[in-house]
Amino acid sequence: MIRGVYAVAASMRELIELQARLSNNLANLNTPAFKQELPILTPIGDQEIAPVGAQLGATGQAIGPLGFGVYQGEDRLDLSQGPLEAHDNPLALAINGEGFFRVQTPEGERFTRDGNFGRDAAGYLVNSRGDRVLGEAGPIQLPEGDVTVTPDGSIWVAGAFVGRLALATFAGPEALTRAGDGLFVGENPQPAPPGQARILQGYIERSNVDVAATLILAMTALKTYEASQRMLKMQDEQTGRLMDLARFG
Amino acid sequence: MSLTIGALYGIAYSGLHTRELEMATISHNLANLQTVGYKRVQLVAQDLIASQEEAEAAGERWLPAGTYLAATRRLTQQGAIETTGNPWDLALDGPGYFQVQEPDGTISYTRAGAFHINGDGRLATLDGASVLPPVTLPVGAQDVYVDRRGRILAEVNGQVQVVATLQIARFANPEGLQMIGANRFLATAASGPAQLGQPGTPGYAEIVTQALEKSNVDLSVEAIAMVAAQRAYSLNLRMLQITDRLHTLALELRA
Repeated sequence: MIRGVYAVAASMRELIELQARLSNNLANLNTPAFKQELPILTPIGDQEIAPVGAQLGATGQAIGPLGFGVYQGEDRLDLSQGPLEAHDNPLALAINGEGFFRVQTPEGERFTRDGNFGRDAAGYLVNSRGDRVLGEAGPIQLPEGDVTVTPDGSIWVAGAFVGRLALATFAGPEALTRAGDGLFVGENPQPAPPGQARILQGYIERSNVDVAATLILAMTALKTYEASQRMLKMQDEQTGRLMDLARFG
Repeated sequence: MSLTIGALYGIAYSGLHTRELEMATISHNLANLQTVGYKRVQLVAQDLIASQEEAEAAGERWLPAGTYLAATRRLTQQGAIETTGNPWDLALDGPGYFQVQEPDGTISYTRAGAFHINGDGRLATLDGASVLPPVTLPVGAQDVYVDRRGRILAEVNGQVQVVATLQIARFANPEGLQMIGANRFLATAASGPAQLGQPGTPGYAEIVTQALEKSNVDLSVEAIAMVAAQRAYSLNLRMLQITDRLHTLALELRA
């Protein structure tokens, strides 16, 4: 019976965390290039339960499996492409396809799909935090003049070649850890093979949050939490009755 | 130690708060639909995560913490140029800013070129701040004309002569200028220092005389952004309601 209490309590904790990720999706609906998390709850290892005394040699039949609650699956970062939207900033760059921009931050190299870039006072191409964007030959310094970025990531200013953006790819979502500000820490970045992605100038990538899926999951999570809470109360009442029995028996 | 229900309130609140700021910014842009030389402002929201310690305590690689207003950007693209017929209305066609001397002596920068000649015969903004370098018309100047390179031509004693030349400033990062109201800006470390030059030379705007640069706010763009922000707001409100219900259920366990 106590085992049941722990299973339910663990599920309830997981549901709160699930709800946090779902709320976070909707809070970041307007965050450029935000990648949503849609966790999938999976049961934790079922255990076969036998009647009390079965282990003493009696030929008791198994009662059936007992779950130990639920946990969130690991691969919950959804890296799918967000919709592209035209933008007035000529230095807004969007990746159509796979890959990440590389930026140099005070904490080290980070990866992002948010290409709403600008220039800093020294003319370097920077993200909205002011971190320098990395090209194949390091940070990209833009001379004065109109900037043209071609789909292969080559940057031209007033007809002169300035540099080429270096995109990175990863084995999968498990290689990326969210770092806030649209940035990710990435394990083992690989240069993106040519032709895998196109850079679009004057576009930004919107978040890929699936509002309907997020809301449905949130409502399901609420109902599951409600059911778990009732189970917990029920089991607590049963334990209480058992204790009453022990007292007067 | 794992995530608490309290953190859920924080996430939903961050979404509501950021959308409120967004809607206020959109309203500000719409209010400046007709403001000469106004550049529309856009908020940049970013995602937040909880501290590394909290994530580790919960056995997770990261814990979400909602969203926040990370940056405010001014979209400096050219506004439409509209002829006014007023001889001292000057529009900039291209990058650059007029220099204006504020009453306290600091130099500010503006693209709102609605000027006039004040009582002292000097070129000034409508609220009385002098344009730099100072432009003073000689006594008896007539048929004043400003050409595309910022040269002010006037007929003095029957002879056409250049009486002054305007200079404009440009910045490596005009988005980094700090707004001080009245559509005027100060140079900052982020914008870089002003680089002065003559209008019409490479990298500097040409002057269009008897015209003004209109606001670059696009009504339909702002209206769509407003609808999207309102929609996002109500979704975050829904999450707040769910959070509240979760909280109530957890509290009932004590009873």
